[in-house]
Amino acid sequence: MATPTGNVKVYPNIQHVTTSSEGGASSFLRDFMAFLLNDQTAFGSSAWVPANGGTGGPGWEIIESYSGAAATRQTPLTTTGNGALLSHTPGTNGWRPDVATLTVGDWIVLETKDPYKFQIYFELQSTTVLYYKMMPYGNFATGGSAITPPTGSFPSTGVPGYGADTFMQQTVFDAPAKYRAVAADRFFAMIADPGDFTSVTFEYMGEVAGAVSLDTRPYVAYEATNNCRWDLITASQWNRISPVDGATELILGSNVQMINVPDLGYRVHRYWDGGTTTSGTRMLPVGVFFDDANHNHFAGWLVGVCSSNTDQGAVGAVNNATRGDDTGDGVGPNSGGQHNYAFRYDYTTGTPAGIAFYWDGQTEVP
Amino acid sequence: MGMNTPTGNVKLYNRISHTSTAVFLVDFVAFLIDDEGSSFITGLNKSWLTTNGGTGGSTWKMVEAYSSAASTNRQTPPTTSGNNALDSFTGTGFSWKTGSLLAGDWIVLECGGTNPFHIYIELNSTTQIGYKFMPLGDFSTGGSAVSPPVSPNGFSATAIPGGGSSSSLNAQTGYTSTVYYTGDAADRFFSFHINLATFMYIGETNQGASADTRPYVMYTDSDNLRWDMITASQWSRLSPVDNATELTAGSNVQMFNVADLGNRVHYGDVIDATGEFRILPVGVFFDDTNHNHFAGWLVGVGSAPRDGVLSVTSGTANQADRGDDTGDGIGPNSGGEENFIFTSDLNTAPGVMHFWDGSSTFP
Repeated sequence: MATPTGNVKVYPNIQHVTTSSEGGASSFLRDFMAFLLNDQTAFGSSAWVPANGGTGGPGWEIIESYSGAAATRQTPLTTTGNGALLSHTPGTNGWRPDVATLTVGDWIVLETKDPYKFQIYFELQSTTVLYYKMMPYGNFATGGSAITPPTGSFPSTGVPGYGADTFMQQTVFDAPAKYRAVAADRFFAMIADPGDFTSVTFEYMGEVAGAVSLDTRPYVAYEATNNCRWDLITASQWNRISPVDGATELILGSNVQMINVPDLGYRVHRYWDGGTTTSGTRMLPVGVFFDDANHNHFAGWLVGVCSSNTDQGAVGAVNNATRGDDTGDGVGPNSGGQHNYAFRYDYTTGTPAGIAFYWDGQTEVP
Repeated sequence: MGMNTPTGNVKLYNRISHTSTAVFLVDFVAFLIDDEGSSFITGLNKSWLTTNGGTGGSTWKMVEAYSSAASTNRQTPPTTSGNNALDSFTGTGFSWKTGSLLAGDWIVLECGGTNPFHIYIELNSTTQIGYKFMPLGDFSTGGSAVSPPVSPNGFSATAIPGGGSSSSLNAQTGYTSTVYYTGDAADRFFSFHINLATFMYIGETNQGASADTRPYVMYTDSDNLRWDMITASQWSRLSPVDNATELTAGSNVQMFNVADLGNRVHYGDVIDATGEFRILPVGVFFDDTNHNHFAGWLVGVGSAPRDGVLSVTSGTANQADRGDDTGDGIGPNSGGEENFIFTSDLNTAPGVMHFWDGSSTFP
């Protein structure tokens, strides 16, 4: 598993439910923003908070947010760390922890950490959908009209759709669901899991490791969010701004995986169930390759996540049973409980390779 | 995450010409045991020697050798590694001392590091090298002076290929004319290619499973100096499941663009549009029934774009194909930062990148 920039923080499979006052998606999004900001006082009982045994968050920064209930667009007084969300203007602003809920349409723009900061727009588009827009150059324009989406504020190099009101979207749940994520200075990866093993969704935004030296902003965004697996059949799974000209949006990104060459069509992790030898399971790296004409390139390796065997552990589970101690050797529990991941995949399409997440070796995974 | 690192210090056999494969074998054995002082080797005066600016040799040692022309023709020399080891063979006319190998002459070497393996190397004919690989390091010395050695003083039951059979060897084409030999070695592996045409790799993979304490593989497709896609049985090893079964269905495992099956990253796209290219790791997967497993990553070698993306003709391996090293696994157009020697015998297949030490010269 390739290593991200900065310390990896774990959002450990936290359940969010819909209550009479707040939908599950709103509950998750607010807590997830607190995690990325490392605002440990916003929702202090959350399992990612160190006081509860968690790792804390990476400490990103708020650029601007919008609250429909407050009809307000603002940059809060405190933009990162404890008290950041609460520093939104008191009243009805849904980004404040003391307000019951977000309103559909509420959005927030966060900025990652040095070097080469980029920004991500998050929107509660509905009670079951999140919108994202990645701005690799960190050039969201603040201070416009208090509307949703913030038409005219997106830069010409936004992903997807440049400056248009076009977004990556991920299904989330207006019902009990568990959310697992990892994040560091320049990336996050997140799985939304309602527990039925088929509707699970996945998002990854941020850096790849090992980019070529001229590619100073090697940031990719996962487009095939309904496929919580390393898929074999979709040609356009990843988007990014081209490192060739710094302007063109590339959309023909695909997973690059280890293939057993005499058996084309079979990845190591699809073909092999991992149960027949003493060698145990294996974490294998996943790269991203862009095939856009005149911009084709191997972008690098995904960080904090990797590929796992198809039937590692209980199918679809992300819990204590599918993790173990870590020696960092990339070999699974059959070799003696030595691995470092939480495993998940959507098995609706046969036996794809699963997604394994970095695990910190200590945080409880409910 | 480009080229994986072997155990111990990597030593470079930096594109050295020899008049025949027979002469090469003696020099290469000296390289593996780091004998920089024996008469025949100093006479050759090749560029792997530290006195010539090379890296010196590796940490291997001799177990036993056979010379059909010698008076005492099967022996373990008093000095098994280091300077003057080859000179320490006793008697007259011992070919591994004189450098005059005859067809059938053989030597068994033991690699360095923990859990060492044995490799039997025979000048099978003037145009062929034969190998027998003993992952458990259990070649039996002291038997009849014959070639190849026969049971019980010879190959172990777990030798590869063919167990204890004296007739089964893994073959690699050699030459009676002057050609170049290029490779590298460390404590527990060596790899080299001959005349830009044949290739051998014997030894460890990186990150074998923890239960796999002898993750040693041998390339059996030596006429393909490339990361091939069409051969199901390119690698052999002793199974880590029972430490007894010979596995033969090993294949290269490479990075594929899954949306475009049939095209490896290094096959379908010659060069990144960024103007740079990427060295990618190569693994070995064994598909033998009930023993299937991912053995790990090859060390000291990596995969290169099929066409070299270099300003030189594919298939060459010389000064033009190397550059400075930052270890980032990214090619020379990024500012001369690389650490490899590129070779392929086929323009349409990913090439073999060898480790380069960053300073040794190439002829």
